[in-house]
Amino acid sequence: MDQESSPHEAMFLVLGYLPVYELLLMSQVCRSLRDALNNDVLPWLNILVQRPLSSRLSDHTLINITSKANGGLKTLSLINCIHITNHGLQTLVRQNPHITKLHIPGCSSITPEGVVAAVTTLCHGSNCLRTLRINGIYNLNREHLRTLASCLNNNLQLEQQPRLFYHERHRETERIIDLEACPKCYEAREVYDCPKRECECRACSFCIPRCENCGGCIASEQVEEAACSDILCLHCWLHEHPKCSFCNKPYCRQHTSWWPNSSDSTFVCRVCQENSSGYTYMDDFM
Amino acid sequence: MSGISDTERMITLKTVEGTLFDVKSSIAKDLKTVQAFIDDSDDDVTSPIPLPNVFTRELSRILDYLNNHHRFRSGIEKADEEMARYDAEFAKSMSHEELKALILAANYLNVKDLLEFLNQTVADVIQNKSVEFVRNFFGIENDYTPEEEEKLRNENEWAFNGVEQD
Repeated sequence: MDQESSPHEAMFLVLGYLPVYELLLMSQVCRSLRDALNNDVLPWLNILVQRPLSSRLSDHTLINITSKANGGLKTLSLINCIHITNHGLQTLVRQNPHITKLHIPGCSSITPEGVVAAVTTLCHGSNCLRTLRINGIYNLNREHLRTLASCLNNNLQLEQQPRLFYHERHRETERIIDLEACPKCYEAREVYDCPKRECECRACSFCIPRCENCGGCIASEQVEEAACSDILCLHCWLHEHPKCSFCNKPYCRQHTSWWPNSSDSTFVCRVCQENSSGYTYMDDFM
Repeated sequence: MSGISDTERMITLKTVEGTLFDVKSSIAKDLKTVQAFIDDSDDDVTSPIPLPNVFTRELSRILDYLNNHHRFRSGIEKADEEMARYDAEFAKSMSHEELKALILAANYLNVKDLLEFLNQTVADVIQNKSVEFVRNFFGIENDYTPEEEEKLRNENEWAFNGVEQD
Protein backbone atom coordinates (compact mmCIF):
# COMPACT_ATOMS: atom_id res chain seq x y z
CA MET A 1 0.00 0.00 0.00
CA ASP A 2 1.52 3.34 -0.87
CA GLN A 3 2.74 5.31 2.14
CA GLU A 4 2.21 8.83 0.92
CA SER A 5 -1.46 9.58 0.77
CA SER A 6 -2.90 6.81 2.96
CA PRO A 7 -2.01 7.76 6.54
CA HIS A 8 -2.79 11.41 6.01
CA GLU A 9 -6.17 10.80 4.49
CA ALA A 10 -7.35 8.71 7.39
CA MET A 11 -6.27 11.22 9.98
CA PHE A 12 -8.07 14.14 8.35
CA LEU A 13 -11.29 12.20 8.59
CA VAL A 14 -10.87 11.74 12.32
CA LEU A 15 -10.54 15.43 13.10
CA GLY A 16 -14.26 16.08 13.31
CA TYR A 17 -14.62 13.49 16.06
CA LEU A 18 -12.02 14.84 18.43
CA PRO A 19 -12.52 16.90 21.58
CA VAL A 20 -10.75 20.27 21.67
CA TYR A 21 -7.81 18.97 23.69
CA GLU A 22 -6.99 16.40 21.02
CA LEU A 23 -7.45 18.97 18.24
CA LEU A 24 -4.77 21.14 19.83
CA LEU A 25 -2.56 18.08 20.08
CA MET A 26 -3.11 17.27 16.42
CA SER A 27 -1.97 20.72 15.37
CA GLN A 28 1.42 19.88 16.88
CA VAL A 29 1.80 16.61 14.99
CA CYS A 30 2.77 17.91 11.57
CA ARG A 31 2.32 20.87 9.25
CA SER A 32 -0.44 19.49 7.07
CA LEU A 33 -2.57 18.78 10.12
CA ARG A 34 -1.92 22.23 11.53
CA ASP A 35 -2.92 23.77 8.21
CA ALA A 36 -5.99 21.60 7.93
CA LEU A 37 -7.09 22.73 11.37
CA ASN A 38 -6.37 26.39 10.69
CA ASN A 39 -8.07 26.51 7.31
CA ASP A 40 -10.96 24.16 7.71
CA VAL A 41 -14.19 24.95 9.50
CA LEU A 42 -15.44 21.36 9.82
CA PRO A 43 -13.44 20.17 12.85
CA TRP A 44 -14.66 23.21 14.79
CA LEU A 45 -18.40 22.84 14.30
CA ASN A 46 -18.83 20.43 17.19
CA ILE A 47 -16.95 21.54 20.26
CA LEU A 48 -16.35 19.22 23.19
CA VAL A 49 -14.30 20.37 26.17
CA GLN A 50 -13.75 17.84 28.95
CA ARG A 51 -10.95 16.71 31.26
CA PRO A 52 -8.15 17.70 31.33
CA LEU A 53 -9.04 20.91 29.55
CA SER A 54 -12.18 21.81 31.54
CA SER A 55 -10.52 23.61 34.40
CA ARG A 56 -8.08 25.42 32.10
CA LEU A 57 -10.61 26.97 29.77
CA SER A 58 -11.23 30.68 30.15
CA ASP A 59 -13.88 32.85 28.48
CA HIS A 60 -11.23 34.37 26.25
CA THR A 61 -9.89 31.05 24.99
CA LEU A 62 -13.39 29.68 24.51
CA ILE A 63 -14.32 32.63 22.28
CA ASN A 64 -11.12 32.08 20.28
CA ILE A 65 -11.92 28.44 19.75
CA THR A 66 -15.57 28.90 18.86
CA SER A 67 -14.76 31.72 16.46
CA LYS A 68 -13.14 29.11 14.20
CA ALA A 69 -16.62 27.92 13.35
CA ASN A 70 -17.29 31.21 11.55
CA GLY A 71 -20.69 31.54 13.13
CA GLY A 72 -21.74 28.03 12.19
CA LEU A 73 -21.16 26.29 15.53
CA LYS A 74 -23.59 23.38 15.76
CA THR A 75 -23.02 21.71 19.11
CA LEU A 76 -21.29 22.88 22.26
CA SER A 77 -20.39 20.55 25.11
CA LEU A 78 -18.56 22.12 28.01
CA ILE A 79 -18.16 19.59 30.77
CA ASN A 80 -17.35 21.08 34.18
CA CYS A 81 -15.77 24.16 32.65
CA ILE A 82 -15.86 26.02 35.91
CA HIS A 83 -14.28 29.26 34.71
CA ILE A 84 -16.74 30.01 31.93
CA THR A 85 -19.00 32.91 32.89
CA ASN A 86 -22.33 34.24 31.69
CA HIS A 87 -20.42 36.82 29.68
CA GLY A 88 -18.39 34.21 27.82
CA LEU A 89 -21.48 32.14 27.12
CA GLN A 90 -23.52 35.09 25.89
CA THR A 91 -20.73 36.31 23.62
CA LEU A 92 -20.29 32.99 21.91
CA VAL A 93 -24.02 32.43 21.60
CA ARG A 94 -24.46 35.79 19.94
CA GLN A 95 -21.68 34.90 17.52
CA ASN A 96 -23.13 31.45 16.84
CA PRO A 97 -26.91 31.70 17.01
CA HIS A 98 -27.62 28.37 15.30
CA ILE A 99 -26.38 26.06 18.02
CA THR A 100 -28.63 23.00 18.28
CA LYS A 101 -27.12 21.37 21.33
CA LEU A 102 -26.03 23.29 24.42
CA HIS A 103 -24.53 21.00 27.05
CA ILE A 104 -22.95 22.87 29.97
CA PRO A 105 -23.16 20.52 32.96
CA GLY A 106 -21.09 21.53 35.96
CA CYS A 107 -20.18 24.95 34.52
CA SER A 108 -20.62 26.40 37.96
CA SER A 109 -19.74 30.02 37.19
CA ILE A 110 -22.74 30.25 34.91
CA THR A 111 -25.91 31.35 36.68
CA PRO A 112 -29.54 30.49 35.92
CA GLU A 113 -29.98 33.98 34.48
CA GLY A 114 -27.09 33.33 32.12
CA VAL A 115 -28.66 30.08 30.99
CA VAL A 116 -32.03 31.71 30.36
CA ALA A 117 -30.41 34.53 28.40
CA ALA A 118 -28.43 32.12 26.23
CA VAL A 119 -31.38 29.83 25.60
CA THR A 120 -33.62 32.77 24.74
CA THR A 121 -31.13 33.89 22.11
CA LEU A 122 -30.84 30.38 20.73
CA CYS A 123 -34.59 29.92 20.46
CA HIS A 124 -35.24 33.29 18.91
CA GLY A 125 -36.85 33.37 15.47
CA SER A 126 -35.73 30.49 13.34
CA ASN A 127 -32.89 29.50 15.64
CA CYS A 128 -33.11 25.92 16.61
CA LEU A 129 -31.73 24.88 19.98
CA ARG A 130 -32.87 21.31 20.56
CA THR A 131 -31.21 19.92 23.65
CA LEU A 132 -29.99 21.47 26.89
CA ARG A 133 -27.95 20.00 29.74
CA ILE A 134 -27.57 22.11 32.86
CA ASN A 135 -27.13 19.66 35.73
CA GLY A 136 -24.64 21.19 38.14
CA ILE A 137 -25.47 24.82 37.56
CA TYR A 138 -26.26 26.28 40.95
CA ASN A 139 -29.51 27.85 42.15
CA LEU A 140 -31.76 26.59 39.40
CA ASN A 141 -35.40 26.41 40.47
CA ARG A 142 -38.73 25.39 39.00
CA GLU A 143 -39.41 28.86 37.61
CA HIS A 144 -36.21 28.77 35.60
CA LEU A 145 -37.09 25.35 34.27
CA ARG A 146 -40.55 26.50 33.27
CA THR A 147 -39.09 29.47 31.42
CA LEU A 148 -36.54 27.29 29.66
CA ALA A 149 -39.14 24.70 28.73
CA SER A 150 -41.40 27.29 27.20
CA CYS A 151 -38.51 28.73 25.18
CA LEU A 152 -37.49 25.38 23.84
CA ASN A 153 -40.84 24.02 22.96
CA ASN A 154 -44.12 25.64 23.72
CA ASN A 155 -45.82 22.39 24.44
CA LEU A 156 -43.04 20.74 26.37
CA GLN A 157 -44.23 19.16 29.57
CA LEU A 158 -41.03 18.40 31.40
CA GLU A 159 -42.44 15.25 32.99
CA GLN A 160 -43.38 13.76 29.64
CA GLN A 161 -39.88 13.49 28.25
CA PRO A 162 -38.19 10.12 27.72
CA ARG A 163 -37.60 8.39 31.05
CA LEU A 164 -34.30 8.55 32.83
CA PHE A 165 -32.96 5.66 34.91
CA TYR A 166 -30.38 6.17 37.63
CA HIS A 167 -28.05 3.39 36.46
CA GLU A 168 -28.07 4.88 32.96
CA ARG A 169 -27.67 8.49 33.99
CA HIS A 170 -24.30 8.86 32.29
CA ARG A 171 -25.65 7.81 28.93
CA GLU A 172 -26.73 10.27 26.27
CA THR A 173 -30.50 10.57 26.14
CA GLU A 174 -33.12 12.04 23.86
CA ARG A 175 -34.38 14.37 26.53
CA ILE A 176 -34.75 18.02 25.66
CA ILE A 177 -33.79 19.24 29.14
CA ASP A 178 -32.00 16.99 31.61
CA LEU A 179 -33.66 18.48 34.71
CA GLU A 180 -37.18 18.76 36.05
CA ALA A 181 -38.84 19.67 39.35
CA CYS A 182 -38.58 16.68 41.67
CA PRO A 183 -42.10 15.52 42.58
CA LYS A 184 -41.05 15.15 46.22
CA CYS A 185 -38.78 18.08 47.06
CA TYR A 186 -39.62 20.36 44.13
CA GLU A 187 -35.97 21.17 43.54
CA ALA A 188 -34.62 21.34 39.98
CA ARG A 189 -32.89 17.97 39.68
CA GLU A 190 -32.42 14.93 37.50
CA VAL A 191 -35.53 12.88 38.23
CA TYR A 192 -35.29 9.13 37.86
CA ASP A 193 -37.97 6.61 37.03
CA CYS A 194 -37.92 3.18 38.58
CA PRO A 195 -37.09 0.19 36.39
CA LYS A 196 -38.70 -2.24 38.84
CA ARG A 197 -41.86 -3.79 37.51
CA GLU A 198 -45.02 -2.10 38.74
CA CYS A 199 -43.08 0.49 40.68
CA GLU A 200 -43.86 4.01 39.61
CA CYS A 201 -41.72 5.97 41.99
CA ARG A 202 -40.21 9.11 40.52
CA ALA A 203 -37.87 11.43 42.38
CA CYS A 204 -34.34 12.80 42.52
CA SER A 205 -31.60 10.65 44.03
CA PHE A 206 -31.63 12.67 47.24
CA CYS A 207 -35.27 11.82 47.88
CA ILE A 208 -35.18 8.18 46.79
CA PRO A 209 -31.88 6.33 47.03
CA ARG A 210 -31.25 4.04 44.07
CA CYS A 211 -29.04 1.12 43.23
CA GLU A 212 -25.99 1.94 41.14
CA ASN A 213 -26.26 -1.32 39.20
CA CYS A 214 -29.97 -1.66 38.44
CA GLY A 215 -31.41 1.80 39.16
CA GLY A 216 -34.12 0.35 41.39
CA CYS A 217 -35.36 2.20 44.45
CA ILE A 218 -33.99 1.04 47.79
CA ALA A 219 -35.80 1.31 51.10
CA SER A 220 -33.51 3.12 53.53
CA GLU A 221 -33.00 0.08 55.80
CA GLN A 222 -31.88 -2.03 52.85
CA VAL A 223 -29.13 0.18 51.49
CA GLU A 224 -25.92 -1.79 50.94
CA GLU A 225 -22.60 -0.08 50.44
CA ALA A 226 -20.12 -1.17 47.80
CA ALA A 227 -16.35 -0.91 48.28
CA CYS A 228 -16.37 2.21 46.10
CA SER A 229 -18.92 3.83 48.47
CA ASP A 230 -21.67 3.71 45.86
CA ILE A 231 -24.87 2.10 47.04
CA LEU A 232 -26.44 -1.11 45.87
CA CYS A 233 -29.72 -2.82 46.52
CA LEU A 234 -29.56 -6.09 48.41
CA HIS A 235 -30.20 -8.16 45.31
CA CYS A 236 -27.37 -6.60 43.30
CA TRP A 237 -25.07 -6.67 46.32
CA LEU A 238 -25.62 -10.40 46.73
CA HIS A 239 -25.08 -11.11 43.04
CA GLU A 240 -22.08 -8.92 42.45
CA HIS A 241 -18.72 -10.68 42.38
CA PRO A 242 -15.97 -10.69 43.33
CA LYS A 243 -16.13 -9.49 46.93
CA CYS A 244 -13.27 -8.22 49.03
CA SER A 245 -11.68 -10.90 51.21
CA PHE A 246 -11.55 -8.50 54.15
CA CYS A 247 -14.68 -6.37 54.18
CA ASN A 248 -16.79 -8.60 51.93
CA LYS A 249 -17.91 -5.69 49.77
CA PRO A 250 -18.09 -5.85 45.99
CA TYR A 251 -17.41 -3.01 43.63
CA CYS A 252 -20.38 -1.64 41.70
CA ARG A 253 -20.43 -2.39 37.99
CA GLN A 254 -19.03 1.01 37.10
CA HIS A 255 -15.97 0.43 39.25
CA THR A 256 -15.08 -3.21 38.67
CA SER A 257 -11.85 -2.02 37.07
CA TRP A 258 -10.76 -0.80 40.51
CA TRP A 259 -9.82 -4.28 41.70
CA PRO A 260 -6.02 -4.22 42.06
CA ASN A 261 -4.19 -6.88 40.08
CA SER A 262 -3.29 -9.74 42.33
CA SER A 263 -1.20 -12.76 41.55
CA ASP A 264 -3.36 -15.09 43.63
CA SER A 265 -7.09 -15.44 43.44
CA THR A 266 -7.98 -13.34 46.48
CA PHE A 267 -9.49 -9.93 45.98
CA VAL A 268 -8.77 -7.10 48.33
CA CYS A 269 -10.43 -3.76 47.72
CA ARG A 270 -8.37 -0.58 47.63
CA VAL A 271 -9.56 0.64 51.00
CA CYS A 272 -8.64 -2.58 52.76
CA GLN A 273 -5.31 -2.69 50.95
CA GLU A 274 -4.45 0.77 52.17
CA ASN A 275 -5.61 -0.01 55.66
CA SER A 276 -3.67 -3.23 55.86
CA SER A 277 -0.35 -2.09 54.45
CA GLY A 278 1.98 -1.12 57.27
CA TYR A 279 -0.08 -2.97 59.85
CA THR A 280 0.93 -6.31 61.21
CA TYR A 281 -2.64 -7.31 61.88
CA MET A 282 -2.62 -9.31 58.67
CA ASP A 283 -0.08 -11.61 60.29
CA ASP A 284 -2.48 -12.26 63.16
CA PHE A 285 -4.93 -13.70 60.66
CA MET A 286 -2.47 -16.13 59.12
CA MET B 1 -33.72 -17.46 7.13
CA SER B 2 -35.50 -15.17 4.71
CA GLY B 3 -35.35 -15.94 1.04
CA ILE B 4 -34.33 -13.37 -1.49
CA SER B 5 -37.40 -11.47 -2.65
CA ASP B 6 -38.13 -10.83 -6.31
CA THR B 7 -36.79 -7.32 -6.05
CA GLU B 8 -33.59 -8.41 -4.30
CA ARG B 9 -30.86 -8.78 -6.88
CA MET B 10 -27.31 -9.93 -6.33
CA ILE B 11 -24.40 -7.69 -7.26
CA THR B 12 -20.90 -9.06 -7.70
CA LEU B 13 -17.93 -7.07 -6.49
CA LYS B 14 -14.29 -7.76 -7.32
CA THR B 15 -11.43 -6.75 -5.02
CA VAL B 16 -7.84 -5.87 -5.89
CA GLU B 17 -6.80 -9.49 -5.44
CA GLY B 18 -9.55 -10.62 -7.80
CA THR B 19 -11.78 -12.18 -5.13
CA LEU B 20 -15.47 -12.07 -5.99
CA PHE B 21 -18.16 -11.17 -3.45
CA ASP B 22 -21.88 -11.65 -4.07
CA VAL B 23 -23.82 -8.92 -2.36
CA LYS B 24 -27.57 -8.35 -2.02
CA SER B 25 -28.65 -5.15 -3.69
CA SER B 26 -30.12 -3.94 -0.38
CA ILE B 27 -26.65 -4.16 1.17
CA ALA B 28 -25.03 -2.65 -1.90
CA LYS B 29 -27.16 0.43 -1.33
CA ASP B 30 -25.04 1.20 1.75
CA LEU B 31 -21.93 1.18 -0.44
CA LYS B 32 -22.77 4.52 -1.97
CA THR B 33 -19.89 4.46 -4.43
CA VAL B 34 -21.08 1.10 -5.76
CA GLN B 35 -24.67 2.29 -5.84
CA ALA B 36 -23.66 5.33 -7.88
CA PHE B 37 -21.92 3.03 -10.33
CA ILE B 38 -25.05 0.90 -10.61
CA ASP B 39 -27.24 3.96 -11.10
CA ASP B 40 -24.92 5.26 -13.80
CA SER B 41 -25.00 1.98 -15.70
CA ASP B 42 -28.78 2.23 -15.95
CA ASP B 43 -29.19 -0.68 -13.55
CA ASP B 44 -27.77 -3.06 -16.08
CA VAL B 45 -24.95 -4.63 -14.14
CA THR B 46 -24.22 -8.22 -14.97
CA SER B 47 -20.46 -8.47 -14.80
CA PRO B 48 -18.51 -8.06 -11.54
CA ILE B 49 -17.86 -4.47 -10.49
CA PRO B 50 -14.12 -3.94 -10.01
CA LEU B 51 -13.00 -2.09 -6.86
CA PRO B 52 -9.39 -1.17 -7.60
CA ASN B 53 -8.76 0.42 -4.18
CA VAL B 54 -10.32 -2.21 -1.96
CA PHE B 55 -8.64 -5.33 -0.65
CA THR B 56 -10.38 -8.58 0.20
CA ARG B 57 -9.76 -8.27 3.93
CA GLU B 58 -11.42 -4.85 4.07
CA LEU B 59 -14.40 -5.67 1.86
CA SER B 60 -15.04 -8.82 3.83
CA ARG B 61 -15.11 -6.82 7.09
CA ILE B 62 -17.34 -4.12 5.63
CA LEU B 63 -19.87 -6.62 4.35
CA ASP B 64 -19.77 -8.41 7.69
CA TYR B 65 -20.58 -5.16 9.46
CA LEU B 66 -23.37 -4.21 7.09
CA ASN B 67 -24.96 -7.66 7.12
CA ASN B 68 -25.00 -7.69 10.91
CA HIS B 69 -26.38 -4.18 11.21
CA HIS B 70 -29.15 -4.96 8.72
CA ARG B 71 -29.99 -7.99 10.80
CA PHE B 72 -30.10 -5.98 14.04
CA ARG B 73 -32.25 -3.29 12.53
CA SER B 74 -34.80 -5.68 11.11
CA GLY B 75 -35.22 -7.38 14.48
CA ILE B 76 -37.60 -6.10 17.15
CA GLU B 77 -36.39 -4.80 20.52
CA LYS B 78 -33.14 -4.98 22.46
CA ALA B 79 -31.26 -4.65 19.19
CA ASP B 80 -29.46 -1.56 20.53
CA GLU B 81 -27.56 -3.49 23.20
CA GLU B 82 -26.66 -6.32 20.87
CA MET B 83 -25.54 -3.87 18.23
CA ALA B 84 -23.36 -1.99 20.72
CA ARG B 85 -21.80 -5.27 21.81
CA TYR B 86 -21.15 -6.27 18.22
CA ASP B 87 -19.62 -2.88 17.44
CA ALA B 88 -17.31 -3.08 20.45
CA GLU B 89 -16.12 -6.57 19.45
CA PHE B 90 -15.72 -5.45 15.86
CA ALA B 91 -13.50 -2.53 16.85
CA LYS B 92 -11.47 -4.62 19.28
CA SER B 93 -10.78 -7.35 16.75
CA MET B 94 -8.63 -5.06 14.60
CA SER B 95 -5.08 -3.83 14.97
CA HIS B 96 -4.36 -0.15 14.41
CA GLU B 97 -3.10 -0.95 10.92
CA GLU B 98 -6.26 -2.79 10.06
CA LEU B 99 -8.37 0.02 11.50
CA LYS B 100 -6.68 2.61 9.32
CA ALA B 101 -6.97 0.43 6.23
CA LEU B 102 -10.65 -0.09 6.93
CA ILE B 103 -11.29 3.64 7.27
CA LEU B 104 -9.75 4.26 3.86
CA ALA B 105 -11.78 1.46 2.30
CA ALA B 106 -15.00 2.65 3.97
CA ASN B 107 -14.24 6.17 2.80
CA TYR B 108 -13.66 5.04 -0.79
CA LEU B 109 -16.84 2.98 -0.80
CA ASN B 110 -18.68 5.78 1.01
CA VAL B 111 -20.24 3.69 3.77
CA LYS B 112 -21.52 6.48 5.98
CA ASP B 113 -22.49 4.71 9.23
CA LEU B 114 -19.44 2.49 9.33
CA LEU B 115 -17.17 5.44 8.59
CA GLU B 116 -18.66 7.40 11.45
CA PHE B 117 -18.22 4.46 13.81
CA LEU B 118 -14.60 3.88 12.77
CA ASN B 119 -13.67 7.53 13.06
CA GLN B 120 -15.17 7.67 16.53
CA THR B 121 -13.23 4.53 17.45
CA VAL B 122 -9.95 6.06 16.31
CA ALA B 123 -10.82 9.29 18.12
CA ASP B 124 -11.27 7.22 21.30
CA VAL B 125 -7.88 5.57 20.76
CA ILE B 126 -6.14 8.93 20.36
CA GLN B 127 -7.86 10.51 23.34
CA ASN B 128 -5.46 11.57 26.08
CA LYS B 129 -2.41 10.35 24.21
CA SER B 130 0.77 12.23 23.30
CA VAL B 131 1.84 13.84 20.05
CA GLU B 132 4.38 11.06 19.57
CA PHE B 133 1.70 8.43 19.91
CA VAL B 134 -0.40 10.08 17.22
CA ARG B 135 2.61 10.30 14.91
CA ASN B 136 3.33 6.61 15.38
CA PHE B 137 -0.28 5.65 14.97
CA PHE B 138 -0.67 7.38 11.62
CA GLY B 139 2.90 6.85 10.49
CA ILE B 140 3.54 10.58 10.18
CA GLU B 141 6.91 12.25 10.02
CA ASN B 142 7.51 15.32 12.14
CA ASP B 143 8.15 18.07 9.58
CA TYR B 144 8.44 20.91 12.08
CA THR B 145 11.68 22.68 12.82
CA PRO B 146 12.57 22.76 16.52
CA GLU B 147 11.75 26.49 16.57
CA GLU B 148 8.31 25.95 15.08
CA GLU B 149 7.59 23.19 17.56
CA GLU B 150 8.66 25.41 20.42
CA LYS B 151 6.41 28.23 19.17
CA LEU B 152 3.41 25.93 18.90
CA ARG B 153 4.04 24.46 22.31
CA ASN B 154 4.09 27.95 23.81
CA GLU B 155 0.86 28.91 22.08
CA ASN B 156 -0.87 25.87 23.47
CA GLU B 157 0.77 25.96 26.86
CA TRP B 158 -2.44 26.99 28.60
CA ALA B 159 -3.92 23.64 27.59
CA PHE B 160 -1.05 21.33 28.35
CA ASN B 161 0.51 23.00 31.32
CA GLY B 162 0.61 20.70 34.30
CA VAL B 163 -1.14 17.79 32.60
CA GLU B 164 -2.88 15.75 35.27
CA GLN B 165 -2.11 12.08 35.51
CA ASP B 166 -5.23 9.95 35.66
